[in-house]
Order: sequence, then C-alpha cells, then structure tokens
Amino acid sequence: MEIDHATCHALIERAFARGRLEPEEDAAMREHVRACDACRRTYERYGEAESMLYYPAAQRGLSPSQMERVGARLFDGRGASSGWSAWPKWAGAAAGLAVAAAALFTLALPADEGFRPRGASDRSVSPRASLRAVRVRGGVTGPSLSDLATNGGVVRPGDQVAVLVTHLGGFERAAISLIDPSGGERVLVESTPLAPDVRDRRVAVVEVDDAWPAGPHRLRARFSGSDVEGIREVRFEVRARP
Amino acid sequence: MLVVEDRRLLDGYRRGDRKALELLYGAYAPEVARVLRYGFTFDSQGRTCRFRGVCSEFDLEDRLQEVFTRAFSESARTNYDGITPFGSYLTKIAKNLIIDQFRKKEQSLLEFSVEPAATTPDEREGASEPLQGRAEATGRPEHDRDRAQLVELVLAFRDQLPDRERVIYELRFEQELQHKEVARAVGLSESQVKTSEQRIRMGFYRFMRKHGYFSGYVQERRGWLRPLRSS
Repeated sequence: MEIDHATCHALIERAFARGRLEPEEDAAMREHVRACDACRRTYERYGEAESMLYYPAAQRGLSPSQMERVGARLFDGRGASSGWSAWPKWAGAAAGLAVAAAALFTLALPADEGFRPRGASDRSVSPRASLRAVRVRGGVTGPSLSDLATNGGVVRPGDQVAVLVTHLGGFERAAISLIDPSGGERVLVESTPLAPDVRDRRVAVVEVDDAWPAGPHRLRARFSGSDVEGIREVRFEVRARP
Repeated sequence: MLVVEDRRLLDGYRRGDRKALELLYGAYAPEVARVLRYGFTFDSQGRTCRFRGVCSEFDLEDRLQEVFTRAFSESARTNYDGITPFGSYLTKIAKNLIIDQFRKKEQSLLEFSVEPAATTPDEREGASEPLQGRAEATGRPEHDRDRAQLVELVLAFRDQLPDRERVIYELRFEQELQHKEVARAVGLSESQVKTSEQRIRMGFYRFMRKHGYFSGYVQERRGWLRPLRSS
C-alpha cells in the first residue's frame, strides 16, 4: 500500500489548501507520512505555515482547518443514522480504496516475484487473475483516485479510467474490451501475452469524453490459456458533466 | 456545560447520534487539542512527570482523532455519568491516552522528561505575538530564523490580498469570527465566505511555494499524468 513522494506531497498540499481529502486519499497519505521521514517533514512544514496563517486559533490549540481535517476523518463516510458503530466499516472501505490508489502509483515498479511453493511448476497453479478499474480525476495539485468497483463506480467526461490486471498464473493471454449500454464492444487491448505473477499491472488508460453514452458500462477482460478461459468484469456508470 | 445542561444532547451522545457527536467534537476539540499541544503534569510510580506537548502537527491530529475515537466508543458513551463536565471527561481520556503511551515507551519518548512542572499553558500562551512583531527567542537560532521568515511571508501575503479578501482574512483568520459573522459583516452569503476562505488558503500555499518556503520540502511532479504515461 504505497504512494510515491510526489503524490504524497501533492496530497499534503491539497489537504492543507482545501481543508480535507477524500477518505481513501487521506488514508494513503497518512500511512505514507507515518513511514517516511521526508514526507513527514513536508507535512510539518505545511503545518507550521498553517499555524501562522490561523495564528490566534492555532496558538490556543487548533486551527479551524486542522479541526476540519480531523473531523472529516472521524465522521466522513458514516450515514447520519448509522451510529458510531459503523466506524469499522468506514475504515475498511477507506483502506480498500487506499489499496487502489497505491496500485495505480506503483505500476512503474517491476512486477514482484509472487509466491510459488518450492518445487511446484506453473501447471500446478490454478488460474488466478483479476481486473480492476480506477477512476483518475484531475485536480489543481494532483489526481484523485477511486476504485470503480468499490466506490459507486461513476465516471464523467474529463475523467480517465486506468485498467489494471493481476495475474498469478494459469493463463497465457488476455484481451480487454469496453462494452457500452447498447452492448457495443470496443477493444482496448488486443489479445496479448500475459506474464505470470504480475499484480495490478496497468494495461490501458482510457479518457472518458462527451462522446461516451451515459449509462452502465462494463470493462471486460478475457483471460485464456491452452485449456482454460476466464472472464472478469468491472461495471461502472457514465454520467454527463454536472 | 454543554452535555450536562442539555439532556437531548446527552441522550444523543449516549446513542451515538452523528449530529450529537459532531456538535460535541466542534465544541470540545480545541480544548482537547490545547491539552495535547501544551502538555500537563502527572504522577507515575512516585515520580512527577511532565508531558511537554506534541512536537508535531501530524501527531497532534493523530492523537486528537484517537481521543475522540475513544470518547465516542460505546463503552465511553455508556460510562459517562452525565454529571462530570464533558470537557473534563475528554481531558481525562486525552491524559490517559498520553500516559498509556508514556508507560509503553518510557525509555524512548523524547517528548517526556522527569522533572518538576516548569510551565503551564497559560504561561506559554500570549508570551509571543509574532504577527504583531513580538517574537520571543526560543534559544534555537535556526528555528527563530525560520519562524521570522515565515512571519515575514505571512505578512507579505496578507498585504498583497485584494481588498475584499483582505477584509475576509482579517475577520476570519485574525479576529476568528465564525463564517456567518463574517458573512454578516461583509454582506456575502456564508458559502461565499467559505469559498473565499478556501481561495485565500490556496493562494497562501501558492504564495509560499513561489517564495521558496517549501524549497527542499516538496518533490514536484512533472505533470500529474506522468505515472500513467510511463510504462
């Protein structure tokens, strides 16, 4: 669950400038800052500047925007009638989305080796593959990321959709296509060889524009091997600009 | 005062109603933050110890969140007697949190020292008014230099604001009026004031960046799509 330094810095600036982040962004940023001295120094630098901007309040203990940030962490994502017991569910969702954010920004890394029992061959591994779609929405200081499968799945013109594939063995090829509300299919990735043991490898990025019809869409991955096939889908909705 | 006097708020707190919890957070967060920021004295195994206050804005936010998470947990809601002032109840939770941490990491936590109480929050507060040109030396020259640069930049930022934003800055950031009070004073809607405040904040960090305050602290991204484009 990692984001890079530049992404972390962009999120820090947005947290201070706007007062809050989306829960998944906030979780990813704070986890990174906890483990990274350089980014913690950056956070503190912004904190010092903020303390001076809101000097009298900060001097007494808390600036209004610090209060807003902590309040967002305490309350965001919980329904008004859900009661405090809903907290763990919210925390789980935030963590899940943070994973998606992390996935998008670790794509440039080499694929990890995965785990294979010593002495086992590829054929002994049952086919395992998954498809993920992450919405990328631009902002002044950086993108906001949202896993379409777990976050309502809505995209609008101007967004981008990054298509990620995990393949832990068993298949040989994959093809990705996009299916619109009328059933029309557009190939995004022709059948292509699959390396084994890749996790969240980005295989395509598509820009959503005004030509996309509003309504339910599906991203479909067809995985195939010599004697095995598998289909994975992610559903999401395209809506017009607000 | 708030919970003790308001039966419905107390009931809402006990039930864990979001509105009640938000109200309590808004009312008491500054008081709890003050305890965390400025510290307190406590006894541990016959010694008088002092928690000198958090040194980090990041940690302050973490601990503030933890205090309210504890205070809003079911057991804390059930255990609250409705008679003790709620601020004292929260302060006790905050102190227990810190003391627990002290006991767990007694040897390694630099924020603690075993010594008689030296300063109190009231003594520290108001000793320095940097934006009024009264900055007290801390004995750390580099820190003082850095702070002086920060004050200079904040004042320069304030001076270059357009008239309307300057007025909002003074009312909201310096005089600490609530959004609706600022709105009344300047003849704008509350949401326009909130938007202006956010614009001022965004402008502030842009200004600070432009004037080098974040040099060496921020890694620039060359276009936010770079990670998508690289393969």
